[in-house]
Amino acid sequence: MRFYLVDKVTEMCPGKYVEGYKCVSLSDDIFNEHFPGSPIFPGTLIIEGMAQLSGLFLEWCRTRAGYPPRRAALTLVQRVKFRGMVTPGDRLVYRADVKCLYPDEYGAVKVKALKDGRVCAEGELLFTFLDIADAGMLEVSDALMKFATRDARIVE
Amino acid sequence: MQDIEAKLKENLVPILGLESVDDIHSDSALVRDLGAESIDYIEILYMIETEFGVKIKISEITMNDYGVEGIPEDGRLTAELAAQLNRDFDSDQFKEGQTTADIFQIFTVHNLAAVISKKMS
Repeated sequence: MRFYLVDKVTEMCPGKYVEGYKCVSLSDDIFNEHFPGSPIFPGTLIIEGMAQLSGLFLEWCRTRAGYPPRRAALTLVQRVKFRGMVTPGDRLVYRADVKCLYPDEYGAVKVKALKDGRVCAEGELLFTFLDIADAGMLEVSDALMKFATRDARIVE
Repeated sequence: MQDIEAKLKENLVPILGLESVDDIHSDSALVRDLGAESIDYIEILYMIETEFGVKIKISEITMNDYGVEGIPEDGRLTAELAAQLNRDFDSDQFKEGQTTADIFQIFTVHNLAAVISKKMS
């Protein structure tokens, strides 16, 4: 399984919010074990998807504002509540709203995952910004961002 | 100030992975006594922002601000700067000759409460 849990970023408003989605498929490897005969997309992967979307977005906001590239590192997951099950065939829409963003220190977002317009997970994530260890990692991160945001609408 | 310190202690318990608020004393040093790591500081600052409604920059409690403004090239506190730190952080623990690393190690819960109190007023 490739550990990319955001298929597409659809809308980005710098410093404010981002939206994207993940299509859950029966062919995802995770369903071999979670659970045999009763495929349920794990809540932990929903958190990871929301974190990937939020982290990429905060990195993008920083560099767009002229700060040198740094990696958003998840430091706190809090008040997460799962409100509905996610199964193969569902499209999970992720949204992250910025609570605060200090480009030299940290950023916090309120996140939610929706299925057919209904919230199935929500919570709050905190990120700090770390110096990127090597150029290879930065390259991969940039490539992922470029691909994920290929059709994204930027709202100013 | 006492209310601020009590609320701060309660909120530090889960962040620092402690058993109870009784593990935290006013003169407990965040790093040396309570084992705070740099990543904990991000969470502590975010907690202060959400619980107390004031924003503290990491440089304000890691002494970078003072480092830029006042600490001489040898990196050790002068008597004047030590007196200033003691005033700012309601303390008497800062002394001439200490380094920024020393100060970071001995920065206490009470010192942090003093910064919050100052910001709130």
